[in-house]
Amino acid sequence: MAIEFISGCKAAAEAARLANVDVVAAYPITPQTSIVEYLAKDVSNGRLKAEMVLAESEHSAMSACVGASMVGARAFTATASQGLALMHEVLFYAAGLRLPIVSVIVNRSLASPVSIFADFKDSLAQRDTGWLQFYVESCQEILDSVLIAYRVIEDSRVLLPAFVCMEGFVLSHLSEPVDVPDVQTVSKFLPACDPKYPTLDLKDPKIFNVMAFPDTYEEFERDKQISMLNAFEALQEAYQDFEKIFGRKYQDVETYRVEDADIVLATMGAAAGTAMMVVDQLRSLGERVGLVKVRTFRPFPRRQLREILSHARVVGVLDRDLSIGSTGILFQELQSSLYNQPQRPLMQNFIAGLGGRDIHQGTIGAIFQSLKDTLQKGFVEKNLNWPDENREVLSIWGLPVDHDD
Amino acid sequence: MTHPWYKSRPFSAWIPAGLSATHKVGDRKERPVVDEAACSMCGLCWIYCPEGIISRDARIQINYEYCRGCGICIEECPKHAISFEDER
Amino acid sequence: MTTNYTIKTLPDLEQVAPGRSGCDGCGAVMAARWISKITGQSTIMVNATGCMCVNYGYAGAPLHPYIHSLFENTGSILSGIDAGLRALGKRREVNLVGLAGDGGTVDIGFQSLSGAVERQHRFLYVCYDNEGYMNTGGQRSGATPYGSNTATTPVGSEQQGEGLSLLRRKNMVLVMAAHGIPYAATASIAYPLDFMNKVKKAIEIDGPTYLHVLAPCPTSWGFASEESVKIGKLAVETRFAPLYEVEQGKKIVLDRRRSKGTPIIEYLKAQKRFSHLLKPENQHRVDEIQSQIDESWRYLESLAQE
Repeated sequence: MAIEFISGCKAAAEAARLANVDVVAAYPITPQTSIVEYLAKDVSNGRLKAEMVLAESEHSAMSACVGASMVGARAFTATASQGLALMHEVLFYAAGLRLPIVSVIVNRSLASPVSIFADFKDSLAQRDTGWLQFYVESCQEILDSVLIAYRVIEDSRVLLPAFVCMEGFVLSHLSEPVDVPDVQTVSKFLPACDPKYPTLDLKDPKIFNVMAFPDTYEEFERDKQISMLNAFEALQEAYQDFEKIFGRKYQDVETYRVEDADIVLATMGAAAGTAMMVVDQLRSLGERVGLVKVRTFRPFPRRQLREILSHARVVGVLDRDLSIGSTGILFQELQSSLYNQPQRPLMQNFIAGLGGRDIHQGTIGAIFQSLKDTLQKGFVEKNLNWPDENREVLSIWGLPVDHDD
Repeated sequence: MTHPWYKSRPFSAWIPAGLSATHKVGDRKERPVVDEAACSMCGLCWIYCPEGIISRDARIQINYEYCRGCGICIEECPKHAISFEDER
Repeated sequence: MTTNYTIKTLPDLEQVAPGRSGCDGCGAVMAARWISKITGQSTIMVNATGCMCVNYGYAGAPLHPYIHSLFENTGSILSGIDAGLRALGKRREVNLVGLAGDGGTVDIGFQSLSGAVERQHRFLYVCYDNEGYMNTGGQRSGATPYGSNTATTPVGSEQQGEGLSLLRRKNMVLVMAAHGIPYAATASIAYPLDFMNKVKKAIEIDGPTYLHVLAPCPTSWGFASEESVKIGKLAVETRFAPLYEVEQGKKIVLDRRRSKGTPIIEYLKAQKRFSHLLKPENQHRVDEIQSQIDESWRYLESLAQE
């Protein structure tokens, strides 16, 4: 093991190398490009033995991953934004064929208007495709999560593809000290690729992707649902082993000072780091506030989140995304998870950080202030809030500042 | 739920190769019949048959369990040695 | 290595089980059976959405590993399989075949095929061209010929079927040749030995290869099921679908013998989709088709000159 000062993209590439992937198929898109560049360099200088498929589109890159995986190879790709949207159709196909492909997503918003900066809309728009989704907070977590993802999805209880998502530029181009393990240590955690799903095997010929009629289609979907939920068990085992081997601890839902908290903020990704500092500041002033970071978004850890959040009195959800015409996506998931609880908190949604707008301490501070007001009033005045809105633009455009969901 | 592929996980949509052999032809108005005296064993019917159900060992044989009666073998036989016979 | 098959030496073993679905007399089914007859037990086939995934795939007819791809990604699934097999050291034992209709090739699958050929993956790609979206009920595709009555180019008072020239269609063999593909050719279901010898030639090449097969469709073209071979033969003889090979993107070999130049009306009048062209007021359209065919034949001849 060695501590190296590397970016999120480099951490993702190092993870793919350590996972000893057989095929890398990708198409360049900012801010994902350097992941594939690093891997190409590794292949070029013999550090990684893999086939590179430098596809002519993301649709084809994902399709090539499917082809490789169908013959039992470990496949890896990385993409973002428009590229992920172009892959959309193939994502269902890969999940339905039960192929354990890992794709790193360097989160970036979607056109139009064009933005190369981060929000979660690209990957959250893929939430119903049957892929596991992990959202990470640091460069170390990127590397670790790719290894954990392969281990979990190649497990015969799961066999579904996975995304490891990091925010573009915020993490992808940020350099941090990262503990890069050696190949031997990684092989203790992640065994060599040994497909436990049906493949295009000359010795046992099968016909793939045939029709399912109404008497069975639903059960195919249900099996994916059950396999996705099985991932929780596989993840717990992986987290325990990972901690034993590498000394770092992960959980599907990570909490910070929530035990006696009246007010809890829930979020995903890098904003959690900033929020932690704000929680500390408020705690030092005697405020009973806490933080929840949802690391595993698919499968969605509903039960854990119910246990953690039903004790709070007010829960704020910071969404770096928006389902236009409804609310933030994490908010929807959390609210529906808590709805049937006899005791449930008031909930408020905060949309921030879209198109790369910085989520700074002031943003989080304003959110906690709003949650504190809600606690005092005892009811939610506004479900949907924009804590860091650009009032100047809104006023020039004549858009209403005071609106709700 | 009698299909073998429903018994093993993961349940992806695959079927065993060659499963189609369980689908035999139900109704066919006419069947092609070979006149062995006229047949020269050239093999054209064997190769043109879209179903691949004509064999050419010692003689030409048509597998009527799968013949759809499309008539290509009759049309392409250079010796006019195959003709339709009514099924009833 | 290069000994051609004769009808006697063709393998007897079928790589397709009986009992497939689909229409009687299907030209694409004949082509598919001939492909795997040559590619044998070590075939892995990728088949785009279309007639053949219903006729073969859903029914479970192939006896070798087979995957029904999406409509447009046959080329890139092939790329992934090629790369995966190479990475696992298993590439030599497999004959990798792509099978797609004209929609899956000249229209929606054009990009992924082009990319896969450009990247020089090893596979044989066969397009069975039935000149339209026949699996969905006979809609017009980029390969639909001038004058053809289809579900989306119906004959009416204002229009007489597909209105665009034959010459606007993508000549896929020449498109592939422009990629510098090691081998591309047309083939016909009327000439089985020529077809299968081309398959044999193609799979011996370590790189991408392409076959374009006109696949007569009794259902949507409107002829009796026993006439498929006859229609296929007429297509070659009238120079509507001539037979030629292109090696290394340069050397073009044109089969002048089989395409003797039978008038196109013989081909048109055998199919219901062109029946409106037989009316006297449409004679000029038949003449147009003939001149378009003559023009593309002259072009092919000019390419085939040494």
